[in-house]
Amino acid sequence: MDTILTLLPDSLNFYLVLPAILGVAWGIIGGSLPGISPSITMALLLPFTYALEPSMAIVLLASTYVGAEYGGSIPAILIRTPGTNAAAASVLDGYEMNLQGKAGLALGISLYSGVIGSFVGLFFLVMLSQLLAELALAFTPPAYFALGILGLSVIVSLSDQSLVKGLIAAVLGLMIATIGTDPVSGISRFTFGVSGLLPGIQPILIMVGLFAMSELFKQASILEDLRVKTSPRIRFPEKKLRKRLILPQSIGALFGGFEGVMPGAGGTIASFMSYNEARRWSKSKDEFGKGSPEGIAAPETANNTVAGTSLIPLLSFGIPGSNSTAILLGGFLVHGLIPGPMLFARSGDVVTDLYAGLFFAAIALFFIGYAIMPVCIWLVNKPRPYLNAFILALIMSGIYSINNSLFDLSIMLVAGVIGYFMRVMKFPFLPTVLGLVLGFMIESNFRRSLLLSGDDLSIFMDDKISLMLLTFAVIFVFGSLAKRLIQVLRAGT
Amino acid sequence: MLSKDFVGGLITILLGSLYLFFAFKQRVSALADTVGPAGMPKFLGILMLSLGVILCVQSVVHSLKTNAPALVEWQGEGKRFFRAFGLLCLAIVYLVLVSILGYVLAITVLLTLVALYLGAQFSGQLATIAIGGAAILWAIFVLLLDVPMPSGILL
Amino acid sequence: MKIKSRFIFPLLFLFCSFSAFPQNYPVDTITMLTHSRPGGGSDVFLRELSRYLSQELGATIIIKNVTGGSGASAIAELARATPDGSKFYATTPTFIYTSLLSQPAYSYKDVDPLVNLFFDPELIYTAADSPFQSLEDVLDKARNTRGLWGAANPASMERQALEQLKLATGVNAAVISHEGGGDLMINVLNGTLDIGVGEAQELQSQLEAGALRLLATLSGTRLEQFPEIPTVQELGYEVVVRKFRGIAAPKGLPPELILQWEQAIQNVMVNPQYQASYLADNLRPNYINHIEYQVFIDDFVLETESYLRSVGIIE
Repeated sequence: MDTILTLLPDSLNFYLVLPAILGVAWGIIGGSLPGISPSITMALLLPFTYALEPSMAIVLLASTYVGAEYGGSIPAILIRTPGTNAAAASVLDGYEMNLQGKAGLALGISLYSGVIGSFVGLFFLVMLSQLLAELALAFTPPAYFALGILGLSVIVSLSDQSLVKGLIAAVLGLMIATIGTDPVSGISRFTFGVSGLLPGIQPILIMVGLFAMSELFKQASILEDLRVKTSPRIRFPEKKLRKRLILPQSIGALFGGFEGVMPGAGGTIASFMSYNEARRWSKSKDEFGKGSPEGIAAPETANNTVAGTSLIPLLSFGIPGSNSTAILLGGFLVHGLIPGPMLFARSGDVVTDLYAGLFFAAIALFFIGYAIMPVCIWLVNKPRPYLNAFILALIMSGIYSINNSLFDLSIMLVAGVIGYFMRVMKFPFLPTVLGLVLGFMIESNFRRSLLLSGDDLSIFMDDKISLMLLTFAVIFVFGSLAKRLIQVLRAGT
Repeated sequence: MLSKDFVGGLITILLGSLYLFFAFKQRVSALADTVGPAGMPKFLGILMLSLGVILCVQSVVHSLKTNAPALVEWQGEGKRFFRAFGLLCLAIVYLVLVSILGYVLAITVLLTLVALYLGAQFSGQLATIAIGGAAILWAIFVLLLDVPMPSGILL
Repeated sequence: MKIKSRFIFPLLFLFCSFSAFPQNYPVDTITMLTHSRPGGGSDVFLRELSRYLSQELGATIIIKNVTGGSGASAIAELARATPDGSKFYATTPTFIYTSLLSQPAYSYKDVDPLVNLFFDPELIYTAADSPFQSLEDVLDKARNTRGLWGAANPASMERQALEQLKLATGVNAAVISHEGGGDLMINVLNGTLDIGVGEAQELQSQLEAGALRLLATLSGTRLEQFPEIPTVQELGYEVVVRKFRGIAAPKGLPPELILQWEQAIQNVMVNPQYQASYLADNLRPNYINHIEYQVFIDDFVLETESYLRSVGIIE
């Protein structure tokens, strides 16, 4: 409570409101451009923060992060183009809602959940830093491995599609994740001497290709315009729906809460894991993938919670857990501030300013998000040839800017072609994306665990967190398989 | 016989074998662990191969059971494929053009060609949207984000 | 968008025009390339350096982050640049590793190492609550049972150093690589690993909080900040890490420009303000001139190449 009270006098301080507003606005712009990730959006601002007073600089960068995590969902919902990796989870149901003419509501849910996530993240950051930091310390390689397996286990329960096709799609994603430098020995795999492939293929290239490019291909292949016109008004969920969203939002907050603090996990994994779990625990599972409001609420809450909790390892250990917090670390360092255990003692005022700034940012997110929405919806209601031409040009420009590389554009196009054929053959995308996002974490931590134990598999049982997560995964897999078997038997008789 | 699932299965088998081939050719360093850099790829390759075989078998069994003519589900797919392929070609044209004409011109050409391809008419509106769109993208990426877009060799 | 540009442009003016003292440098603007992202090690190094160097040379210095291809893109841009003193690159071992690990279109052979400024000291550390009081304790554990040592990345100098230490001591230890220094530090802090290797700067805040203990430094001599920490060499094992930070130029830089740079860098390094800044960042000044730097890089390449070959990472 004390911590919250100390925020109050600062709240009257106009000088933190301005960077919070500017940061959020800039973040939404950057986050909504495909290829411009939250970290790039922040990095672009970094040189300009050198001149600012430390608190303002830090608040500006942290608010940018908040805005960018939200901004990614706008193109995800409206044009099936995930602006950020984390927003790819929102494509699944958001775009479906858009197709049904409910884009205004989808954006409303996304904004509403994003703002809630920002407040939850701030709450975790201020009140539960110590606890979550300890949790981060407790996550050893076997636990990371088990977490990845739990994430993949959801594939078995994608009941409306062929299980075999789902598995093939997942293996495809896992295969893509093996390209690049081997996480343990450092030897290069499947790079064929191309140095652009050494760090691996960035997930955003595949996601934009699979989701956005394949959609453009599909639309080019159909002559008539099947779109339903969306009214250019953002709609917030009504009371009944809000009640229904409480569970997925709690799941999102939970995953955002603990995955944010774990280095190497971050927003993308939090979004997808919370999407999985929201689906798993939902009363209306079948609606997922066909425009479920819960399918937007969970990941959008999760990635905005991460924008708060990912600051915990940075502030408590001085360890940046993601690219975005690494940029923030840069922001601290150029002002001579060293994040870590001593930061609170040495420059506590900067920390409380940061808290206050994040509070303003969450409020700013609501208003700015609300204000720009009609413009976005108006834009996507333009005639289809112009809209799709512009989307293609936007994607081609955005993907190029990641590494200033035409090679990345070719990878994205190849992913688009693969996505097109997957749609023709009716393979699901979600398993591929899950495999892509989780593959590296699963493989590297499996091998790391075996190195630690001297090739003794019992390490996965001895580690309590790992045991718990793996047990869940096994229960879910067998549960869904049993259900499937019963269905088959019933159909057979 | 040649149902979508069967073709999908064949492609899966092809992809799995290709991947497995390179997985077996993967060099292993002395720093490697027991699983090694090729461990997971080999596993994935074999898994992919077997899943492909299962999918093929499944689809054959299914078509024998139902006796449905498989080619029905392919109807119109050829035409659709060629229209999608056209868009891919335009994207590739952009990749080539951007190094020659530079970003601003190439993106204007891309906007015009794609809009025409998707059914827009030659008109003042088309020109306005192509030039305006290119200007907006240039403003965002070059002016605001300072991305060093290709400048081309002609200019 | 409008708000944004109004906000950015005044600041842009403030920052892009550091200073332009009329001196006899042939170009007005020097672009310094780095493969590191903004806020990364080389980026921070260049931004600090440029503040002082731009005055010394009398030219405006712009930092350009050419990420991608683990340095291959930056090297390619440098190799294709005109050697008129307008484009340079911040060297770190990464550019050698990338050249050796893949077959990039342009490699370290296509650029000219100009001067070296610093060596980043690498330190061996353990958790404060671990039973290890010295490097020898760690080695004893590895002799008796099995050591668990951590490095930040799979193909990195830190990894190489630990593998060399393992060879030199002949102990039984698993060297486990991670996804960066943060990931590694967590696994040392929670006791999963016996030791880790990291740069002084990443460790600083945990050291001050008393959560970590330093056991040895992999530098050639003891560090000023930690005079009581022995070098690994002193302890009797021939392992020294020289993680260099310097500058490379396109091939064919005119001799008078090379001289000008050598002079400017030497002047900057004794500038008291800059000194205070780099010492605070735990960088060890180690100036190497153009002729010697070429030899140094060649040696470094040979050493790294033979290591990578001996463990089978490259053919």
